[in-house]
Amino acid sequence: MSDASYLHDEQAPRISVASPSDYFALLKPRVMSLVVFTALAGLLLAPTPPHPLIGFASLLAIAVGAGASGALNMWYDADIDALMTRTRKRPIPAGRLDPETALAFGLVLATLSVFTLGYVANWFAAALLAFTILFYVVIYTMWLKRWTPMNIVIGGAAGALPPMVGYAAATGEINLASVVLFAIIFMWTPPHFWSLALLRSEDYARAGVPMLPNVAGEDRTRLEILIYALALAPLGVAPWLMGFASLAYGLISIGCGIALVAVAAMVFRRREGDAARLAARRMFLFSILYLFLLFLVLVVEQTAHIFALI
Amino acid sequence: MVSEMIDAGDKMKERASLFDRPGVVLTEEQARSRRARNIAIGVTIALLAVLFYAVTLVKFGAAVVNRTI
Repeated sequence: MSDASYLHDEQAPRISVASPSDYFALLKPRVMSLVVFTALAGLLLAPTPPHPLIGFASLLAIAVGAGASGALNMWYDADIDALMTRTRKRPIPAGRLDPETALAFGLVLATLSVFTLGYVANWFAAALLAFTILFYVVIYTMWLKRWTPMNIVIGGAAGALPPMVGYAAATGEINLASVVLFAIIFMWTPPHFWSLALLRSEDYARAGVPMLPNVAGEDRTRLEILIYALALAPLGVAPWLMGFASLAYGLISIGCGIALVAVAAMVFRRREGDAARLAARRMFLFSILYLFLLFLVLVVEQTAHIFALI
Repeated sequence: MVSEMIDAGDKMKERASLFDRPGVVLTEEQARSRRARNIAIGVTIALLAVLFYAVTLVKFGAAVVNRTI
């Protein structure tokens, strides 16, 4: 500690040893990468793509907005993060950053991201980004997460909004295609997080977070995962059926949708022991691959379309 | 009276001696992390300045040269 012996302990300044990587960890980089990827898909759907620099700056602002949400989430949830194995090494529960610093960091980034998007793109997209941040921090983190097992279902809207923000950044409005992308992520979120909750139910129980397996039981959770997978599979094909994705996308989404339902059915059937854990783990990992593939095909197709226009 | 003046003088000396002390001396780890944070903030601000400058040029487009000299 510092050599401040003439000060009383309570007067001695707390001097941070946080590194830039601790601040970066506050941004939840993996969530941020998903947000950037899905926002890019929305942005590329625009009939007239924006200037590359404007597009890049818009995505950067959206990414920083997502990061700000993550930082504010870690500030508010530091108490339960300390109780969960998965999250106890995060910068605040690990003692590398104090909560007030994370709060200030999150608020500054949230403000900066919204005003940056407003300046580089338009104020409608900025308002949508502000709504996304508010929804994630206030509605999901502060209200739903500790209150209801439907936390993931309703709160998932925040994670599903980036394609609409991306489209709005490029066009100044939203259209049906961007709403379909929103719906895909919205329906994808519950089975993805419930498969994780099946694997980490002790963690959530210790922290007192009412996830579906802890409240309604594991069997009910398995049924819900299957129902959501059955709803998501046809929804994933919608971009092709609605004409804003190619036949290749259609075939890939059908194949991935069938595989997703098969994995969800495996989760539903295997209810005990290592087989059950393995099935839940497969569902968690395959759901990531499913969403990644669908959006990758959309991004590649739209990029090729833009280059063909040029 | 004289003793009060001596006491006051001693107190002033004591206060003055506080300024001679080294104050808060950072440990090596604290100094290293502060330096890393300062560099990160500096680089971020510089990149933001460049980004805003470039975005402004793009938004102005051809109008950027349309001015009286």
